[in-house]
Order: sequence, then structure tokens, then C-alpha cells
Amino acid sequence: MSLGLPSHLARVTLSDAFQKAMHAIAFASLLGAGLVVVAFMAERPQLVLWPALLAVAAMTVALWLNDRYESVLFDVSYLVVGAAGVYWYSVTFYTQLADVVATDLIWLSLPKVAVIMVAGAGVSAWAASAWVVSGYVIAETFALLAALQLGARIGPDGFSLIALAMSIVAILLSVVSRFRARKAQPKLHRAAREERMASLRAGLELKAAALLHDTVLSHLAAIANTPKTELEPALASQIRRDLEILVGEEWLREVEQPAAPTGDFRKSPLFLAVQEAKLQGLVVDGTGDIGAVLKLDRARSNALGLAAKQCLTNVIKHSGTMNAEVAVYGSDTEVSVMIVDEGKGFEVAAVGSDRLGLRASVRRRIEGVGGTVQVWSSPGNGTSVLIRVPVAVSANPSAGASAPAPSPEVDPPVDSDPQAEVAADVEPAGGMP
Amino acid sequence: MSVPERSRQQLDPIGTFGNNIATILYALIAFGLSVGIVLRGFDRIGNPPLAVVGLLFLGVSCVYLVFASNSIRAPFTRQAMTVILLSALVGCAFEMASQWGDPHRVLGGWGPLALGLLLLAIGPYRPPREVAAAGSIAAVFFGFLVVLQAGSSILGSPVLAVVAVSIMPILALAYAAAAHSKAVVDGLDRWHRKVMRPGRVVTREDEAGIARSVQQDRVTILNRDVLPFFLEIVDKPAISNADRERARDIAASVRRVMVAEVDRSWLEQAVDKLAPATGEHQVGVTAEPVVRDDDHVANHMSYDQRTALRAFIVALHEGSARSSDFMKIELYRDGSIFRAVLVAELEIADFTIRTRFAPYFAVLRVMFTDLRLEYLHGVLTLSFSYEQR
Repeated sequence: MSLGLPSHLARVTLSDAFQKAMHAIAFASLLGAGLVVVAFMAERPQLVLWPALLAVAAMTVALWLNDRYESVLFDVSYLVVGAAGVYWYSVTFYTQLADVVATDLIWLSLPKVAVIMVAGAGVSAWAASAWVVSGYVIAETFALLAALQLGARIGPDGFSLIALAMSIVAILLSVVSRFRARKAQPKLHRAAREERMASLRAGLELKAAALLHDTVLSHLAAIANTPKTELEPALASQIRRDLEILVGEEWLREVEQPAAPTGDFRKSPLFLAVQEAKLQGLVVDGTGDIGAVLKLDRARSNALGLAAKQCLTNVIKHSGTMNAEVAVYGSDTEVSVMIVDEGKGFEVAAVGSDRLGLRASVRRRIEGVGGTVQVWSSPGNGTSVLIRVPVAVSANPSAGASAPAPSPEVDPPVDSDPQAEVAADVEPAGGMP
Repeated sequence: MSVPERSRQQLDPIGTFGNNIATILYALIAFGLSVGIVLRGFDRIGNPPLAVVGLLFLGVSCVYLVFASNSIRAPFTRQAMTVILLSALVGCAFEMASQWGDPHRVLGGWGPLALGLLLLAIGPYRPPREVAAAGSIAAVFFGFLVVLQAGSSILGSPVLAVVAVSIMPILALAYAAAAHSKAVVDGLDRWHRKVMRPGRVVTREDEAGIARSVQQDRVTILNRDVLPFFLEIVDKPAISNADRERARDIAASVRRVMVAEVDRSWLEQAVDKLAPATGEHQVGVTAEPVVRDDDHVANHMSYDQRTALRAFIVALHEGSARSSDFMKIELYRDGSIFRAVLVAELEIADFTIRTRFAPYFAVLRVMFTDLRLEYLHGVLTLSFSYEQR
């Protein structure tokens, strides 16, 4: 859906559409007129019918020019050529096919219908009606002139009269239709704009939530769980740096600046996340093709790196093992990363609804770039997290993009509730191995 | 999720809703003209019962056109178009059979005009190519009937000429409908590309404003407890158990706020906007929420679906003259699809409800094709489903 056209454009577009429709009828009528002449020429080769064909050809050229170049000059030119064409066509039929015309005037109708469908310049209903009526008057006048000149039968042409009436009806209906649509259309456009704004805001809130989780909550958890009486100097310095950024800078705007992806997977956020986990003592067994991450654009690559980092942090914090496997697979359409540990696992359904790690920092972050996250875990059987990120543009890119933390080297969160640092909204279907 | 057809109805549901009156009128004209043509030459018709049967088939076709094109039954399907044209063509066959062998009646039937008008009426509802193709097929079929009829009589004119004149209204009006529809669809495309350019619907200034607002919200939360605590703790020589406890409390409080905000769907936010003055439905304040979305499925709606529903909710709210408590929306997962039920108490007469919200129902029907609508004793119930976007 494209919401329809705003009223100021609807008028012009519908007027243009009306012209195209009228010209389509005119072209079809001229084609029909041409076929009629050819059919008679084939059956009665002794007759001189080519002038009628010539008239149709001239009218077709004028109509094409009128359709191609929208200007009053070509509209008037078409009417002039049309008048001459109708006259010439009628004269040819009256002189060569008098017996046929005597039985039915419909044989003369098609070129006249083509002239009625002039649909000249101007977007108002009055202008459209004026052109149509002019076309009708001109066509009928010149057909009448031909008949009078040759002393032929004169009678009403129901076919062209119906064409005129239908054109006027179509013009009036176009006005009524526009009026009926006019009231609701602006509201739909306003809703569309609000939806865009809300979508943008939701994306930014998601970034902010993930960012606060990775920084503020992480630092609070580290303080709450430290067995030492003194704050680690590294943590203190990290807190100071993050505070300066969170309070002093426009971090939500800053992280949106696009940057071209590099061609070196060692600089990819996923690779850096794995390296960081290794530095914290996690033994990571990498398999698959990590180079596949280079297929992703910057936003998706960042989202994948930060989500993987959170998963590896969860392994360090909660799994009870310091071994993990990171498997990367790429296809033309998506990149998937599986993070597996053989640790103590957890009961997915029993996770508290107040936990944010996997939800904000992994699931929503990945969903924000059009990807999906699936988690399989149960007590004693380890945990597997499958992250899939599309290479192509997501259905709703404005819904959010990844938000790199202001300090990429942020310490891993240390949570007071190890078993619960998982998503509350893990889908049951994705659940138990 | 299936790709929507490139018809005007799909791309411009409200515009097509406005066009519905034209459809009804074209159907009436098609039938009225046909009846008039038959009555005018009724005494010369060889087999009047067949002519009446022909008109009956055309009547069925016209009635079905009016029925199927009603915006509340959108979208207008290809099957509907096929039924309408087939019924009309069968009617044409009966009409021709009713005057078999009469050379003067070959060009005098109602078939071409009626078929052409039906195609003209169908134009906004089906993709332009399909309308043009349907017109061509109908013309070929009708041309075949004309050839058959011409074979039964002496025309005095070439069969090709008779066929050309006979089928021309069908082709002309079908191509006109297709050209009109195509021009509107192209216009919509052009405008869509223009407004969807970065910086048109939402400008850089809007983005910056939203980013600042979101950041300010977070900074306000941080300023309350987190910042004073961090500033205090980084300069402290030792961490006490009280500090640890305070860190846990602050973390729990921040987490609560963040969870509530992250979990709020676009629909809850849209409903909240309806009654900002009363402060209703704020997190932790509302006793009975307007939106019940336990499975968190509102965000699975597409952008277009959200836009349609948002516009309708705003229109409902404007019509109710009450705060948002007049309405309840429940969403839930049902296997692989999501379902929604909207119930609103409106102080509007039952018979005016469809008219008043007709444009919105037209849009909603295109967005949610199984939309069901019921309005009884002042309670409007809308139910629909959607797939994951």
C-alpha cells in the first residue's frame, strides 16, 4: 500500500489517468476503423477506399502526438486533423459504400468516437467536459457536412452519442470519487508519518536499552558482585569513560553514522567479539566461514558482533564452562552464527521477565536489523543460540539498527542472577532440546 | 507474507473506495442500457425467452460486481472478475441465440457495451495487465460468437468488419480501464518513491529530535540514581555491603523501567497518544490496559498494517469523544498466525457506522483480508489476523 495520493496530487494524477483512458479508447476506435476499411477493401477491391485508410492513419499520428506531448497545441491539432479525418472517412464511405451506410450509420462511428476522446489539457472537470463536447460537436458537424455535401442519409448516431454521454458520466464520477476519498486520505497520511516516527523512536529506544544494558547494568552488576573491597581500576576507568559518553554526547546519533564495511574479516565486530571473549579466558572453537560476515552491511555486522559478544559473555558468566563453539555459515541471503556451550544450561520457560540480556542485547538487536534468534537450552544439556541475519535489506529497516556500545572494550556484565540472564521472551517453540 | 497485487485497490484503498460509486453506476448503466436495447427491439426478437435469460445472466453479473467490489469485501479477486465476465459472456450468447439468423441484429446487441462497461468498472480493482488481458479474451470470445452468428445470415458486409465494430467497445473500454489504472498506479509509484526518499517522511531534524528525546529520557533515569552512585563509587576507597546492595537495587529499578519500555509495542504507544492529557495507560498506572498483547505480537504487523490500524484507531477516537477507555484491543498468537480483536463502544447509530468509517474499513480490508466487522447495540467488533512480517 502506498496510502494513496495526497489530494493536491490526486487531482493531477487522476486527470492524467483520465486522458490516458480516453486516448486508449481513441486508439482502439481508430484501429477498429482501420480494420473495417481493410475488411471492405479485401472484399471489394474494386472500390477506392484507401482515402479512408489515409484519414485513419493521419488521425492516429495526430492522436499519438497528442498523447505523447501534452499541450493545447497538440490537442487543437488533433481536433483539426480529426475533423478532416472524419470528413474524409465519411465522404469515402458515402461515395464508395453507400449501400452499407444506408443500412447502419455505425460504420461511420468509430472515427467520430476517436475525436470525442480528445481529452485535452486542463485538470478540471469543466475543462475535460469542454474538450469532450468540442470533440463531439466537431466530429458530428464534419460528418454532417459530408452527408449534406453528398446528399446522403442523415440520422442520429447513437454510438457516438453514447460515447459522449459515457465520457461526461466518467468525468462527473471522477469528481465524486475524489470527493469521497478526500476526507480520510489526510488521516491515513498522518498515521503513516506517525508510524515512521514511532518506528524510528522504537529503534532508538532499542539501541538505548541495549546500550544501557551493556554499560550501566553491567557496571552495577560488577559492583554488586565484586568480592573485593576496592573497585578494580579498570572498571572504575570504564565507568568514568561511559559516564562521560552517556551524559555528555549524543550517543544515539553518533552511532548512526554509516561506515563502509571493511574487506578484512579480522576487523569485523564478530571477530573482535570472539577475540575479546578469548582474552577473558574463554576457549572458543571457531568453525565455518567467518569471512561470510563481510557480506553484511555495517549496521547488521555491528548488530551481529554485539549480539555474539553478549552470548559469549553469558557463557562466561552463567554456563559454568569456559569452552564455547562459534560456527559461522553464510549463504547468498543470510549469515548465521551458532554459539554453543556444553555448560549447565537453563530452563528456558523459567526465566524471569525482568531480564534483559538476551532480550535487548541479542534478540531485539538482531530483530531490529531483520534477523532472528533461536535459543535451545535445558538444565544439564548446555545452550545453543542461533542468530540469523539477512544479507538483503530487511522489510522494515527503520525499525532499528544496531547500536555499538560507546566503549567496545566494555567489561563483561557480571550479574547477580546467573541462571536468569537469558531472554524472558524466548519462544517456547524454539525451546527445549 | 504474500506480495500484494499491483492493482489500484491494493495501492490506494481509499481512492478505490471513493471509486466504488462509479462501479455501481457503471453496473447500473450496463444493465439499464441492455434492458433498453432488448425492449426497443423486443417485437423483432426471434426467441424472446432466450433474450430474457441473457439479461438475467447479465443481471447476475452486475449484481455480483456490485457485491464483490464493496470495500468491506476487499480485495476484489481474479475469481470474482472471472465469474462476472463469464456470466456476462453467457448472457451475450443467449442474447445472440435469441436473434439467430437476423442479419440486422448482428450489430445491434447489448453485448459489446455491457462487457466493456463491466471491464471499465473492474479496472480499479485488478492489475492493469489483467484487465487488458481479460478484455482481449472477452473480445476474442465475443468475436467468435459474432462469426458464428454472421455465418447464419447474409450480412452484406465483410465478417471481419462486423467483428471489428462489434468487439471494439469491449477492447476500447478494457484498455481504457487498464490505461487509467496503470496511470494511477504509476503516479502512486512515483509519489511513493519521492516521499520515501530519505529525509522526506521523517527529516534529519525529526530524527535528531527523536534521538535527543530518547537520550534525554535515559539520561533522566540515569541522573536520578545511577550517576550519583557511580560518581560516588569511583572515588570511594572501599566498597561496602551497603554499596553492593544499593547497586542491586538501582540495577533492578533501571531494569524494570527498561523492560517495560522495551516491551511496549507500537500499538500501546499509539493508544497512549490518544489520551496524553489524562496520563492514562502509562506504564504501571493503568489498571485495565486498552491493549492486551500477552504474546507480544503487535510488532509483527507490517508498516502498512500498522498505518491502517493506527489511522482507524485515531478516527474511532475522534468519533467517540471519549478517552481511549472506550476501546479494547486483544492480540494473540494462533499457531503460525496472529489474531486481533478490537472492541469499541461507540455512541453512533448502528446504520451510520459503515458509512462513517467506510474508508478505513476499505483500507483495513486490504491490509487484513479476513477482517470481520460487527456492530450491534453500539458495540463495534473487528477481528482479523495477520502473518509475521
